[in-house]
Amino acid sequence: MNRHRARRLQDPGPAAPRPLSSVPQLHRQLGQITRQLQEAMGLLGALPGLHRSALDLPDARSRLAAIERRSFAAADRVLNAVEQAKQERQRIAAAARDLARATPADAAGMRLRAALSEIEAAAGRVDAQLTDIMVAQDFHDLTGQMLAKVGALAIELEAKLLQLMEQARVPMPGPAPRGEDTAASQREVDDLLAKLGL
Amino acid sequence: MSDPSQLKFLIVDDFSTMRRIVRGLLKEMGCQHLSEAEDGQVALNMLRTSRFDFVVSDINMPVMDGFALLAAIKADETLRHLPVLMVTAEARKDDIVRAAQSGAAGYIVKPFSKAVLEDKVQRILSKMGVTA
Repeated sequence: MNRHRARRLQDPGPAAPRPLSSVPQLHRQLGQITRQLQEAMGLLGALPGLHRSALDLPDARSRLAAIERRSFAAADRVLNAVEQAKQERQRIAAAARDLARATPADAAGMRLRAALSEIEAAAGRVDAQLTDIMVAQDFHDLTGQMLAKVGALAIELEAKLLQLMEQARVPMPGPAPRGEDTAASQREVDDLLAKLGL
Repeated sequence: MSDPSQLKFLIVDDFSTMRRIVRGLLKEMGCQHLSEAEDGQVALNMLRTSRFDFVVSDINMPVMDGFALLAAIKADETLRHLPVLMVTAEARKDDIVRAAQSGAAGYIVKPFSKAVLEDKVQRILSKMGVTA
């Protein structure tokens, strides 16, 4: 066996982290990490950047609020248009039905009835499309909730960044990732409900 | 029991866009008596002053959220028979379990299609003995 191989076999490798035996010990270690982070940020010139970020956050929040207002107005306009279009569709379909009933059953009349029947069927398809457009406006609800959460996070972040500048300078935790505790689809929701007897 | 067109629905959501969408879909299903509330507290006041047959409620709302509304409905002797369909952007499993254990009649995750809402409402109506 050569010397290198013998040393590899005897080498226990990097020491496993030892459990912290007390809260004061944990605090000391956290303090040490914080000081190291402060030094590293100072060396990297990150503190002035963070200060600028904190000052930019109110502007970011007002932009988020503007997005929310504009998306609400857009969804509202679409829903108004869809509701009016659905009423128009009903009137077109009803007129086509009435005209078909009043059309004589001769050769020309039969052609007209066929055309009116197609108009009524097309109006039905248009209605289904309008329903899809209506349901798609739920984006406003979903994005609105996300914007509200991001806005709240921005307020919290702003306060903590300013505090960081002045005193403790601790790093911010990131958002929680989507994990095992979240159902991925309606099917998964249904399966879970079925298991619960619903 | 009477047909769905005679039933009174209460749609509870803090987003007016969502209330309009659910209202539109229920209307297409033949439901004619549709009312709206912007949070759980407003909904509870309406439920205590007028007769309703079906509640479709969001979960995340200001003042009183959907879980608190559900709990208040199930704790009220005169309201506990009401089916409550939860419609929410939250797909968290513990929320789904909590809703089921609190007495929700169904749970729909946004975004949803017309077919999903129709299916859930029809299932609940069938359990109530209502025929379309």
